[in-house]
Amino acid sequence: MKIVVCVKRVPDTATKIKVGAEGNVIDTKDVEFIPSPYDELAVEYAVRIQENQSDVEVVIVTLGPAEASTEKVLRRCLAIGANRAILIESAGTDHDPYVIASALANTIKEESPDLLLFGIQAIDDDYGQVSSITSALLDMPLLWGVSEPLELGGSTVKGRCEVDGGVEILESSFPCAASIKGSITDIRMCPLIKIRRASKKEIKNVSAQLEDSALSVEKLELPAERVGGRIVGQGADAVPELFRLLREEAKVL
Amino acid sequence: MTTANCIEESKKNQENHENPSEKTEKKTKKKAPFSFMKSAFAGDIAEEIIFPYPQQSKEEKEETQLFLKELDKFCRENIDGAQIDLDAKIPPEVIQGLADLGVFGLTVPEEYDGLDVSYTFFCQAIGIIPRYCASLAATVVAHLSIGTKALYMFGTEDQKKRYYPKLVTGEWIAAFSLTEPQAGSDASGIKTSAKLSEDGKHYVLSGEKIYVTNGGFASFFTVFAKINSGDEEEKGFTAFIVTKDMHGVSIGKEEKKLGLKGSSTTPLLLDNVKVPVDNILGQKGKGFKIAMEVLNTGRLGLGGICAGGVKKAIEGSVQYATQRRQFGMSLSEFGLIQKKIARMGVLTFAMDSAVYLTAGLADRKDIDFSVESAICKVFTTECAWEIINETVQIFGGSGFIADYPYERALRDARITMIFEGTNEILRLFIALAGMRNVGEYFKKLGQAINQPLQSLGFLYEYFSGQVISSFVKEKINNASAQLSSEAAIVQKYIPLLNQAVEKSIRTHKKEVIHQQFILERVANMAISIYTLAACISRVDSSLRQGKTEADLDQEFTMLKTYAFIAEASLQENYQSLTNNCDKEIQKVSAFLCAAEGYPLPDVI
Ligand SMILES: Cc1cc2nc3c(=O)[nH]c(=O)nc-3n(C[C@H](O)[C@H](O)[C@H](O)COP(=O)(O)OP(=O)(O)OC[C@H]3O[C@@H](n4cnc5c(N)ncnc54)[C@H](O)[C@@H]3O)c2cc1C
Repeated sequence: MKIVVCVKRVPDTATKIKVGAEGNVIDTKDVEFIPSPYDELAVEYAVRIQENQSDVEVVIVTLGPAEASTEKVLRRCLAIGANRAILIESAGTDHDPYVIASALANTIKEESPDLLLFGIQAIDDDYGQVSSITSALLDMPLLWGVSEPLELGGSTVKGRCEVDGGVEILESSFPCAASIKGSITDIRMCPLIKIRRASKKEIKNVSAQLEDSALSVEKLELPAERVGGRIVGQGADAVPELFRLLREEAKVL
Repeated sequence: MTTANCIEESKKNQENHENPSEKTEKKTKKKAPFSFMKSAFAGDIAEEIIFPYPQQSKEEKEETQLFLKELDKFCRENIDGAQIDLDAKIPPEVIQGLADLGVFGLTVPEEYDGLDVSYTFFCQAIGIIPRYCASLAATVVAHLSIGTKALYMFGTEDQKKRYYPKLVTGEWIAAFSLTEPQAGSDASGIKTSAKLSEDGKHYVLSGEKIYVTNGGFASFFTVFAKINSGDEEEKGFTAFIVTKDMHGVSIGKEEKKLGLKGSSTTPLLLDNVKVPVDNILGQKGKGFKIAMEVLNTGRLGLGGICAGGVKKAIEGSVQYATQRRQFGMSLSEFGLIQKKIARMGVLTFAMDSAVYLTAGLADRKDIDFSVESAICKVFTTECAWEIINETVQIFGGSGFIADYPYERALRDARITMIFEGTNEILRLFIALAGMRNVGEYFKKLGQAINQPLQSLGFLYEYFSGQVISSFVKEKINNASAQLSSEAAIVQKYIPLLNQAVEKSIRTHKKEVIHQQFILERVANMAISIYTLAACISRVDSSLRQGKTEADLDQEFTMLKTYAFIAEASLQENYQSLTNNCDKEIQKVSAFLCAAEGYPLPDVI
């Protein structure tokens, strides 16, 4: 069985984000990148399938700039246990979901995987659309929001998917795609020996003709800095002032 | 290690440098460059050794960063430093977790399932652990940096096959056992004896070792003992592998300590222990050299621990100083607190620069870095002490209270200035190892004086300063123009260091080894020169990688500040060579010793 896992590089959650000079992108200088956590879980899950079955190959596909920080994200996935990785070169990762999905689909088509895994959403833009569009473009059924390990039969896949207010049990034939929720597995510690082995695994760079994004980001703004609370007075006398401030300053009433 | 030992140690290191291992000799073919600091003592600025600043390869950097992240996560989630301090015990799961990550294989060759990482990698990795628990860091480095290091450097294939499988998994913990009740700094005074058995198969070891880190749970001991033998070659001492399961090995009671309470420190008692002759590490009689080479790398590792560990104290200080308010302002708005915070940052910048320059030199494997690693040890342990002490001060009363981690950090940091060579002994070593090189030169000069006719030219040249200027480089050409005023400080003080050394050798001749007031100042000058040169090289390399001065605003500002600190120290130490109250110091000390206490009556 061949499993392809789509991984997006995102800024480390611990990074202090700065808006770039253009005002609509993140300044990536000095930003640490990590695999988006749901994607990383999908990689871990794929590797666990590999450990429990014979003859499973796990291939990582990402789209992003051909630079050291992207490669590091891929090495991390290879260290978890994936066999090889493909980097679709693009200037950034801020394209609209359709553009990204079509580039991914073009590359994945050549790999013809039996199972295609995604994290449910990337934690930077939170679009959550790439899995649906990519699998649609590849004509693969999608099990969306899988919350527990799949039941992998000889010719079918069964998955428990969480939807608003309930659970759907979906079954599909191979090949099929699934997007993964946080509860499916947990990330194990990664010993240095696996990191070292990963350094010898293949990362193939492919170039992509990206379509123009229909969607563009106009402006990015950091949330306003939180200011501390304030005591406006004590006892019943303070109530009118409190109301005034809530109405005029905080504008919540 | 006495003063005589210092000279001995410096000789060993030099021999080592003159006979680089065959492997490197074949590879490079070129004569290995000398040490940067030993050259500096001779007035030579061997800048090619420190420029460009060493860089990890892209692959190694990636591997290091991925591992550091993993190690940091493990430590954050699994280590409770306060509890370990209270229980005076590290939970076995923590050791197991580190073993699973591969920590015990960091310094084991790949053919024995180890990872054999570079010093640059190693120092970064062990710099993570003390941020969570210094006791654990001490335990780990006692195993990796000193316990198993002689096996790594001098072990036979057979010895490695026998012991690595258990050591690499952490199943066996290792310890290094040199110190004895009567032999601490003066390691050559050890009394533990080794006597060849009649059948020639064993050495019978007897003696008492003390202060063995990991003693309580180690299974593998690198033990130093003196062979009782008339053979000149075998005199001096010898390193043995002793395992806990050998008959006659017993472990004494755990010591109660000021700090590092979670680490184990015990005596090791050897009562007629039969150690197979196959367990000798390296050559018989060469134990001192082995111990010194092990400690040489151990000191660099300690530098990694200090430079890494203080970052946690800085984080705490900065967080507290920005949040805590007094007089209606946050502490960080007060100049006196800013001074403390800035100094923490600048010293850490210098610590990192020196440690990773030295680690890079060590990784080249063809260069003598013994003086440099001793500098790193003295400098980083004293900076760490200062930084943690100031952290306690910034926290005010809370710093003293055990609910906060800083009283523990202060207790834990204290020992670093004592073990792996006390900072006093290492200052003597730095000065004497550097002077020995210059001393060799004077020997040549001595010959010249005995054969005046043939050597007239030589003497004339020397006294006119031509010899020096003919083979010595006095300028730094490699540093970028933006760094010229900092480079000028190094350029000014290397010749002054040389002058100071030459003058004291000329004045005191062989007795110079007992002139500790001078030696300390010379060592302090060497420390400032090396650490500043390391900072310059580091910033220079960033500039050469295409960064601009504006990109490097933080680095430039730290460098400028450190240059100011270093220059002040250089000035003070240089001037006090001639302008001092050494005589009075000796007298006052003598008054107190004679009076067996404070000699004057209490003032009413
Ligand atoms: C927690 C802990 C862990 C340790 N771990 C180990 C270990 O794993 N293995 C091991 O072998 N040892 C270990 N030691 C021992 C340690 O290395 C020694 O304590 C250290 O070398 C100093 O020796 P000493 O205690 O005998 O002091 P001394 O040698 O008696 O020194 C006392 C003081 O005199 C100064 N002094 C000594 N000689 C001179 C001189 N010539 N000139 C000027 N000043 C001088 C010293 O600097 C020091 O300030 C450990 C010690 C401790 C406390």
